[in-house]
Amino acid sequence: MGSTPLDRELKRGSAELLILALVEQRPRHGYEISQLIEQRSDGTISFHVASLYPTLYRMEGRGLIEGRWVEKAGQRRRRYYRLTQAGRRMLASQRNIWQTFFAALDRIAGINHA
Amino acid sequence: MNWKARLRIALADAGQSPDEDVLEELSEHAAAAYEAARAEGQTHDVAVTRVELIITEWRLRAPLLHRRPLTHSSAPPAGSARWLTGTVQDIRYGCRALVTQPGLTGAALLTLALGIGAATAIFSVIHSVLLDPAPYADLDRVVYVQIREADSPALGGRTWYTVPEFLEYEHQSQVFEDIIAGHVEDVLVRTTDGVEQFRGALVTPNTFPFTGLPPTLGRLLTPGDAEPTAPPVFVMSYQMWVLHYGSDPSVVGRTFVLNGAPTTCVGVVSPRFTKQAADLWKPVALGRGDPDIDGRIFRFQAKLKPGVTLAQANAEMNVIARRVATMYPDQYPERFTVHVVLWVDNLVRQFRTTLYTLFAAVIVLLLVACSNVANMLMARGMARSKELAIRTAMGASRLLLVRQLLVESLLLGSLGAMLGAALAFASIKGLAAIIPLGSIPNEVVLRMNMSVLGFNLAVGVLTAVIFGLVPALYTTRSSVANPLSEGGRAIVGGFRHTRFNGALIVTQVALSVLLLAGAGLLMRSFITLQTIDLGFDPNNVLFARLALPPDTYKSADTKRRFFDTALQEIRALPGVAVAAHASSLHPFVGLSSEIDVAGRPHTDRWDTQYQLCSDGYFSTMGLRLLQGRTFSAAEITDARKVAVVNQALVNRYFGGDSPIGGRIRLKTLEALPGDDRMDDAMFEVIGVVADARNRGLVEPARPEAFIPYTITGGFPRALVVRAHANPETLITSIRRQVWAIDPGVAMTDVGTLRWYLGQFSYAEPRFSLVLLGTFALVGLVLVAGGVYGVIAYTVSRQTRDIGIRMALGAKPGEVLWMVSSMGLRLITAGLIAGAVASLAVAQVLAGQLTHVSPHDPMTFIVVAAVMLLVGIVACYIPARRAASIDPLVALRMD
Repeated sequence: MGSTPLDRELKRGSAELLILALVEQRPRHGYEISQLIEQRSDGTISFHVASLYPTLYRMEGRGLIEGRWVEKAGQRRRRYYRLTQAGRRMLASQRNIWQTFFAALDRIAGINHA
Repeated sequence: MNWKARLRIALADAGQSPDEDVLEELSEHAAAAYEAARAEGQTHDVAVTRVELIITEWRLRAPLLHRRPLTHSSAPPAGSARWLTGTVQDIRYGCRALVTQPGLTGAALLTLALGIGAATAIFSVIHSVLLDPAPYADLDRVVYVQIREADSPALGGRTWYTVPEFLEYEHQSQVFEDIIAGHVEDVLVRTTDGVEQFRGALVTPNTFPFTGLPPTLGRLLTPGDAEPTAPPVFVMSYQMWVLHYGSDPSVVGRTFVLNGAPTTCVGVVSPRFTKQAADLWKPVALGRGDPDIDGRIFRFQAKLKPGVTLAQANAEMNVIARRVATMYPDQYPERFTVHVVLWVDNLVRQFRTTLYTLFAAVIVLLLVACSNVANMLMARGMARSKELAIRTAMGASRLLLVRQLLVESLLLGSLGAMLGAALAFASIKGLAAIIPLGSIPNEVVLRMNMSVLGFNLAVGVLTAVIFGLVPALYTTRSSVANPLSEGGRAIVGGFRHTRFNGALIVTQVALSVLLLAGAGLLMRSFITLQTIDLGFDPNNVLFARLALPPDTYKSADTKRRFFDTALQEIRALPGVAVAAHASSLHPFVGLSSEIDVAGRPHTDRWDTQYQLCSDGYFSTMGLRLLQGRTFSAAEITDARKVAVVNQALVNRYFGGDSPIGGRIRLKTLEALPGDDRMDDAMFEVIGVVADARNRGLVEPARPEAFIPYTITGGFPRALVVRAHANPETLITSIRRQVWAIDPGVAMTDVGTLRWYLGQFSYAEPRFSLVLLGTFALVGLVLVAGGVYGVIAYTVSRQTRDIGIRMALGAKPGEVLWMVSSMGLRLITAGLIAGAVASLAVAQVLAGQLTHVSPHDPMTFIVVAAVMLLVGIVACYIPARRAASIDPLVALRMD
């Protein structure tokens, strides 16, 4: 079944929220982010890894996250992404919006979220 | 495995070459994915395949694999690119916002269209009349030379000169590049219906190159056409060509009989060439010693040499005029001043003040409209506070939000300007119809051109900034948390509007009071003007000028014979009460002469107006006899030198003593050319009539003498006829009677006295009154809407608060008073501010008021009463709604 525009919009919004939430705790690099998304959603969010980097670059361009090359001893050079102030505000409002959205769904359709 | 090289090739296949940074990051991901697969126990080939799948997906998304902002040189700088993108988004968003609120958008657009449209319409008149009145070449150097009496307070002066005078000025002046002259006369043209009168002009042939306008058809007059041996030719006006000859090109080359002389039409002039307001122009050469020409007076205009200032021209003309005055002393007052005046300034003198006053009024109306729209945007901004708060939470700076709101205002302003332009375009014809005759040059064409459209756009943008900026700053200053809190409404401790809304209402009311006060003063003045005692009865009187063929009616006797018969026949027509001969029409300025009174020597110059009339003139015009008697029929027939004078002449020159039996000399009659001249123009005074206005409606009557029309053959001739009922019904029968006596005589300038008063005395005050009254009315409606809107909005925002009060025992009457008094306080404050401002600026109108003080208390009282009444009604409706709120419903509201 092909995805509807609503599906795509939800997925895009949720992907950004997830990324913001993941880098909120500590800076992470791209591969780590993709693995965490896969693990923490039990695979229900089929966010294609190929879409990850375009999303990261878009969010970086909007100032929500900031990338920095880090070279640690014994490791390859990796680009780590951390949350900016604007990203923190966005995360807070996105959480609020999603909470309101699910509360509405709950009232209207009796849908409970995890 | 060199994943970076592999990636470079794969992405190059897709036509992309990402920078090293991105390649390195992706290759790191690929390497990590390979190691993870190997760590799971997959073989090398399986791990590579897994990574190749990822690389294939990346290849499909290759255009997205670049960091933003772009780093290659052809990209625009990040700052401006972001601004441009953001502005485009703002415009799209703004359009959506306007469409989703059709009621508010419609109200705002209508308000702006009215204000901007009115401003554009008035500016188009100003532009056409003051900035671009005529298409003549070098208009800023074309001047008149005026001779003004030093002791006369009247503006303007003599701009006509005899031929010898003209030739002296032409010969002696050094400051003029070129000089033209023109003389107006009746031209009688025989038609199939009878004879038609046209306004003809004799002009020096350099008139056409002076103005620089090409002909529409054929050619223009040349110096050769004025030679004594040249065949008689003329050029026709564009209006005459269109109206009388249906734009028929065959008029060029056709011969017409003008005043009995065959004359060939050689061309049709440009549509905007209207010198002397003539229908046709014939060439004349001055100074040829032709007594017929030399006896006429000519109006002359001159073009200053480049670089010569008005002051320099004034200085030279003063010297020359003094010299010419010694050569022709009869033409000059004893003490006079000389003024070189721009042609345009001379023509639009008084009307310029009227236009500027109206422009100021329309700017006031525009400000009322802007305040109204600002209030609407404030209300809308409050309703969008939650949306703005979310955007702020998501990272939008205050600057971006203000930009968004300003873009919406600019959209409103631009659309309002477009609608306003359409309104202005539609109203220009109406404006042209009510502009008083003679107040603007005939060459003026009222139209919307690029300058006017540019003004319209500039006003649209400016008003958008005025009404949009403050609400934008105000609504974006609120904190984020408050609007996002539960309920989203601030619970205010007390029932009140925002200070900004209140200030806007006070401003609107004050500005509207300005307009109302101005309109009120003009209305009182107009009513006063219409009730002025004219000294005669203007009702049911018809005036008609008779253009007599000059060759047939050269002497006083021939004219007398014609008028004797004509008056007898006309008086016998059904519907005619009385008819008489006249040389001019009260209250308009007529003939004037220097006067002496026998036995009363004087050193200063004495002047009087005079009227050539028949015995029935006084009863026809309703003039009251105060002393003595009027003319007998025999005195008219015999051309006896008797005169009736008005009271003003008695007071001025007879010291108030009875003038009956006294003698007055009208010196101008002794200076007339040819056979019209009188050897001895001494008249015995036989009667005194009450003063009748003879210099317009406002100035008191000047000294005036009435003498028999038969004493001279000169001057224009006219009929005045008093009818029992509507005099217009008599026009056809009178014309028929005139043609029955002589079909070569044309009746022209026909109209009732009431019509003449309407066109020439009431038209200019009426013009100001109609426009200012319209602005005041529109302003009042906007204020009423604004007050209603603010009170209604405040009630809707504080319904819960009102409910609480009513639940706690407040009666409906108390709520009604609470809400109403809020609005009335604002109106009162605006009223006081407006009254103070009106008193300060009312002096501007003083020149347009007749017998009414600019600080007339009755006007201000009425204005205050009207504003309060409108305010009470505007407050009452939402207050009533507030008083009928159900407390239970209000308390349950979120």
